[in-house]
Amino acid sequence: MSFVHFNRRSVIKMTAASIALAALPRAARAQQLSGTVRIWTFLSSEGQSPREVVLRNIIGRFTAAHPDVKIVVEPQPFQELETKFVAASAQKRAPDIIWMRDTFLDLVNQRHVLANLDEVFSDEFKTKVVPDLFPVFAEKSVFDGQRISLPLWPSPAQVIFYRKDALAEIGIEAPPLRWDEFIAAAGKLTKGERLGFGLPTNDNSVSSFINVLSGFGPSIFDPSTGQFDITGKEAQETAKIVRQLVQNGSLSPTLLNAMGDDIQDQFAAGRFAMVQAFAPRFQQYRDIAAAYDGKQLAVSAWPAFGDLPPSVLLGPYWTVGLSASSQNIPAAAAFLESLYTTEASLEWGKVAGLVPDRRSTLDDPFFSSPEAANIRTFTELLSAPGALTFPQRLPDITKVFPVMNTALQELIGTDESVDAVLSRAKSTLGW
Amino acid sequence: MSVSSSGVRLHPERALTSAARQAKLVGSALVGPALILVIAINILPAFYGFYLSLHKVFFFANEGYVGLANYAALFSDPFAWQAIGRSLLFTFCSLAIAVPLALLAAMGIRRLGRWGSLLLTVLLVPWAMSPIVVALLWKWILVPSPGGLVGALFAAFGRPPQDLLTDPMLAMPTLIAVGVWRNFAFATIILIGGLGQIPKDLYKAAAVDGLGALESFYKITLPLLAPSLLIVISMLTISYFNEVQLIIGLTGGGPIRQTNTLAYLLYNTGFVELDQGRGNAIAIVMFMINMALIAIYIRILGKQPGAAA
Amino acid sequence: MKFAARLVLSLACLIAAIVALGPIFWAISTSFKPTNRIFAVPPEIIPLSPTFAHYSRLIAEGVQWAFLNSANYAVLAVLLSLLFGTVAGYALTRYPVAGKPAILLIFVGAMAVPGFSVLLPTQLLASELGLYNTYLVLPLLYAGHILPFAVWVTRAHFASIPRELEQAAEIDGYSRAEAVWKIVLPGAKPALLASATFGFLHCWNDYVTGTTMVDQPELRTLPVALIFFQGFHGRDWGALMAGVAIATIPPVVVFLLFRKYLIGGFADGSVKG
Repeated sequence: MSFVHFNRRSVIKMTAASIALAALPRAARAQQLSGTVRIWTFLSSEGQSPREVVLRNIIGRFTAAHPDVKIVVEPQPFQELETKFVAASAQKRAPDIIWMRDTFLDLVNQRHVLANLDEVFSDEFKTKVVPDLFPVFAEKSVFDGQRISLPLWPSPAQVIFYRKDALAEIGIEAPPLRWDEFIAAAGKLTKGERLGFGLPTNDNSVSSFINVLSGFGPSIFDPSTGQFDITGKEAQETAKIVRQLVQNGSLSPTLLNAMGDDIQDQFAAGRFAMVQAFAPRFQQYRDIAAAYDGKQLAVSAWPAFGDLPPSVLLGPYWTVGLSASSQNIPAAAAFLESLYTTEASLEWGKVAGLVPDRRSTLDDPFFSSPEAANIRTFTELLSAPGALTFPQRLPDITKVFPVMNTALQELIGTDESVDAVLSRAKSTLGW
Repeated sequence: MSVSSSGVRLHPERALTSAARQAKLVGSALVGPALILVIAINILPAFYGFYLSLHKVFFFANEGYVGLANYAALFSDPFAWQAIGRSLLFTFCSLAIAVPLALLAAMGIRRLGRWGSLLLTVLLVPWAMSPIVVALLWKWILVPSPGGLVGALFAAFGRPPQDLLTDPMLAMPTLIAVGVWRNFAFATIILIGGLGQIPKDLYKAAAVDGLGALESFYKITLPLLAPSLLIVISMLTISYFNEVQLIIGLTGGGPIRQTNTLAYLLYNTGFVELDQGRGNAIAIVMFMINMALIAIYIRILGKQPGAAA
Repeated sequence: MKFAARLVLSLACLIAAIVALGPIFWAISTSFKPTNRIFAVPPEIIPLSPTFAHYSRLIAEGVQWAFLNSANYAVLAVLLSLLFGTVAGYALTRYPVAGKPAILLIFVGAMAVPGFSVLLPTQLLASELGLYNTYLVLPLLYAGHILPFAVWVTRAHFASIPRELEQAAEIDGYSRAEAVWKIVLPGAKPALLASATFGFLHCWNDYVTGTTMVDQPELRTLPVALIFFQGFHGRDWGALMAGVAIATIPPVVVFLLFRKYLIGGFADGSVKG
């Protein structure tokens, strides 16, 4: 295949383009913008969801300011964005702007298909906007000194949703934040048809096992390899937590390969008191609540081990990059910048209930209003002491989640020894 | 060929060859477009797939020729062997349910006359649906909640909702049931045709000889139905062995690899893990198994009396 | 005794019909329920406060264009396969063709290639030929998938028609092409319709080829568009079931219209090899 050659060529082309670009006076750029900018995201330009509405408004404002630029949104299934983008890059039909999950950045970057954003952004954007983003997310996109994407919608990702009404039955307001106490509470919450705790164990980019493991803090990831020790002491401890939750009945051994979507449906139907859930789905969870009052829904960090701070694993989350083979880098870069205006950040918050990308926007009165209570909770989780991200280079990213999910299914659904299950996962990954 | 009437008498042999050659040319020209399209779309990619299976291809980058390493890795992987086992289990359990059910339906429908053809039409509706749509539909029907259709049925019998898709004991049987639901009626059509070709006189003669219904079923119906059964079994085998959309939509290969068939392993390796060299090696293995299964059926059922028809 | 047998048979038929159609009915029922009634306990078999909201959402998100694409691709592919398939089927029965056994083997072999297993190389080839993401790629691929079947069906049919029929017409002054057009083809109508129906169902019901060969929204097929409602915020069961209903109508209508030929074709053996 000619892909390897193509990479080299595209890198040269991109470098040439950025040199030519740097030679242009910055002021002249804005007026000259024209042509088409193709965007791959999971949002549709005709969609009705809050985020889609905000994106449409941003596009509207951008094309009003740059009437010669045509923005074309080509939505793709969200699990396939990175794959489709790399395939399209190899086949010379990549879009200009691409939405990607942070966990895939390293792999996508290895194919040299992303532009260095520091070379295309305006000076104003680099000095005023980039430092205003949440550093924990923004700095993760810098690979070997090259900024290959920008985080969008800072979010605590996989957190714990719980029903306040259910917890009130056992006299607590929020899930305990230490595993020993959490397990006991989950056991008490298991009653009749209701389970104390629900975990999705079949999504390709989510691993509940790693979420529990993250209660040991960032040291679980080896800084040089990005791997975690699958058979190590912390992992063994994690496996024991899972087994205890099964033993006291709060995790069901017949609910092994549920996906996040299944957990969401069944939570709405009242099957769980607490579940692992994707934080940005909070509003959706409320809307479809059937067996309880949606107002009773609340969000919590993950319990930790011993005296460590409660864990918040920040990811996977969305980032936005620019194709190295884009034929219209100036317009694409300008559009990318327009996603991060103060106005846009406010709108993501007000319309879509998201934590704003620009930290300075949080000073806006809206974010102290009662309707922004959830956003405040999410913001607190983001800056909690136990917050950590996946390592920049998590190897075998396409395999690690499915393999750990199967291991988790085995821990929940079989009597096999913890050692056997974890060793098998380790050898499958070849770590 | 009407060579003798063409008037060419002096060199009949040459005339014959030139006319035959011309006919051959016309024939080949007429078959050509279809042949080229079929080769380009079905055969060529298979060869390209074989070529890729000899390379390390990961995430769309070809990292070079590796010989049979992908195959070696595949055959030394216990999960791959397990997947072959799950495929055979899924295929043969589905067949064992679908074929007798189809035969029963075919014999029943033939007795029912007009109502029978209406029933056949009704039973065929699921077969006309897209597998991915069927998967979506059943995912919704099987939602383990008292608000789901199956959940409500359980509730009617005083039972809690069952985790039919996530319980390791139940996932495979549920998948088989959905697979049979979708296409057993297709087998029914062919069997109705096969039953129609059995001369009625044979049954009359059998009745005169004092054969019971069961005996005449074993001695007349089954042997004479062999050609139709051959077609039904091979078509369903290919269909079930390669089924992947239902598994993607319903179980994702789980729980604990219970529904991780070879077809799903191919999807997972090639399209999720993006190990495309190895994915193509699995595809080649699947193709070989497909061919082998068909060859076996032709050998076994081809020897049955009545198969010559 | 006879009455009892009749009763058992009727009861069995009724259960069979409910098992076959019940799930589809449930999908249609769900598609008319407001979102907050979808998980209601006990479930409403018939929606108590029906709504068209899910259908209008499908329209608002442009699903009708995907519907149209699916229909166009299927029709184009069926026409292509009938044209090439009939011509080839005729030639294979009436003309000496170089390497005939090998050609027949290729057509049979092609039917045994699981389309899904060659997706990856097909995508790479389509991309190198510049066909990826074009309006023609799916009709061409689908035509290639259903062609072997069309050849097989028409060949079997032509083989059963005596050559003398055409020769008689040729003696009457028709050219061979005219004879085929006026005498042979009309007789082949059942075989052609059976092959067309089978082909249409294959194309309309495909998901994996559609999702791997185009990624431009304007070119998408209906099943691919539907998957978007299993989206980022969870499954929208109302919209999904409305989609299931819409996606089920065309194949079922086509099937009902032409079932005579399809069932007849398979049943009288003219469709089998």
